[in-house]
Amino acid sequence: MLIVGERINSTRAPIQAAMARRDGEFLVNEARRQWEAGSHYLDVNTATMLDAELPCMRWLVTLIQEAIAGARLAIDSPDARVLEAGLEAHRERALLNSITAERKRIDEVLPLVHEFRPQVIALTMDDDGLPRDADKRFAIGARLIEVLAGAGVPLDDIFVDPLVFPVSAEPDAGRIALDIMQKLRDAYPGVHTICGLSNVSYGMPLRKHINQVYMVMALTRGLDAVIVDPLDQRMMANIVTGRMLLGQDAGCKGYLTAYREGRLDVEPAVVGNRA
Amino acid sequence: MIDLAQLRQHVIDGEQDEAVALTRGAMDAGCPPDAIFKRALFPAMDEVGRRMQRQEYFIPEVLLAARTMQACAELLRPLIVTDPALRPVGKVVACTVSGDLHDVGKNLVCLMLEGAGFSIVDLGNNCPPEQVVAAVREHAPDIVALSAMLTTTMLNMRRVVEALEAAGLRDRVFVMVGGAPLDAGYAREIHADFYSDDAPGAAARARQLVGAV
Repeated sequence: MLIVGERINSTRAPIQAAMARRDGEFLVNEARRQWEAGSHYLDVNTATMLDAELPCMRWLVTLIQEAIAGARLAIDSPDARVLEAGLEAHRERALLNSITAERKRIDEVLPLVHEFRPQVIALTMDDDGLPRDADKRFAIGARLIEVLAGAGVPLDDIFVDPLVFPVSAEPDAGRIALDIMQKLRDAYPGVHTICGLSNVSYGMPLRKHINQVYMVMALTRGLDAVIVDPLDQRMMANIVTGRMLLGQDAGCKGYLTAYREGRLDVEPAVVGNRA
Repeated sequence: MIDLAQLRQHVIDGEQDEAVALTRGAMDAGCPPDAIFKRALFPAMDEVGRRMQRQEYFIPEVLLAARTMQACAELLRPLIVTDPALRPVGKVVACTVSGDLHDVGKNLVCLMLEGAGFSIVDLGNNCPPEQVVAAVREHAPDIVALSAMLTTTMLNMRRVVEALEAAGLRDRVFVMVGGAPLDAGYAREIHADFYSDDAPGAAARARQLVGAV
């Protein structure tokens, strides 16, 4: 299970403020905590910096990689020039977040994939928007896999995100995204599925609780990468435990190690936690 | 005697079958449609809005109540046409702006506005400024309601306001804006008329603007 730590995202007010005042200490601390909690990539999203986005991305990528040995980043921006700056500043291979099937986005991002050879997140949306039904989103995912594979990207470097909608507005939204994960998995063995799953709980109370349960459901449908808050200890414990129960943890080693390190001693489920 | 308080409660609880049956009963008994709206359906959505603001109600409950209200209103529609007391309090053109595909908030606002007596022209998602301008020309609304859920797309709200100005239509409509990344300061900055941080608030302000309070 590939964990992408989601916390360095400029849509979060404290992060945006820290970016605006170039508070390297605060941001490196955010990065370090997530890295030490078991992230494989740290997402860096600078979108809300707008005109100041590009230098911010370059600064932050360099800063985090200098501060934390071996840290790898997911370069996350709606602006292809910012993606380029982030990939350029990044040592070794980054994760590019993201390409879509929108014509313009493909034209802008595919050259970056050629040049920097990152791993790539592919979102199942195109010029017609974000289709609600599973077959259409699967078809977009399939098209993106073909575009990327056609450009020489190994299947193992492709992470398709089925884009989950809030169940508060559409009762079927959680199940539909699970169905797409499974379908992608069956049709394209070797390709990864990834999910920023917290959207599923939008508009509901106790969002963390919903996200934690949905994570386990997604595991059973083959999700093998996730964009989450790695400081959510119950989420992380659920992933470790779920993998063991699905036979993805040889000798239960991951589970037992987590147990000995105290990573399974998490707070009781949701009592009093109204975040 | 028709129990409008009971109808109101069914709408609040999102019990569509019961609410529709009571509405039909009220119509059959000769209850005036405007009494059904003003003493049951609108007050029900008012209460739903209050509960949402107090975080006692969540989006699925608001949607259920709103659909129940719509089902009752649908029955009454043939009568509304002939009843001047039931003319909409105003007309709203609503959409999410260019690049934004998040429509949960916009849909909630539309439902609350409908529940407050407005007629709605919902342009859907991802609407370029030209489309909003064309809709204002065609429908002559009182209010244009714009939604954006991304810091990157909220910038396109300004383009809509500018397009309305360029088309000479800005003075004919109120522009209301909302969405997670916005605040009242941003609304002022782009010369929108008002901002609300939730759907019930948007409906309440809209009623004030058209003098329906």
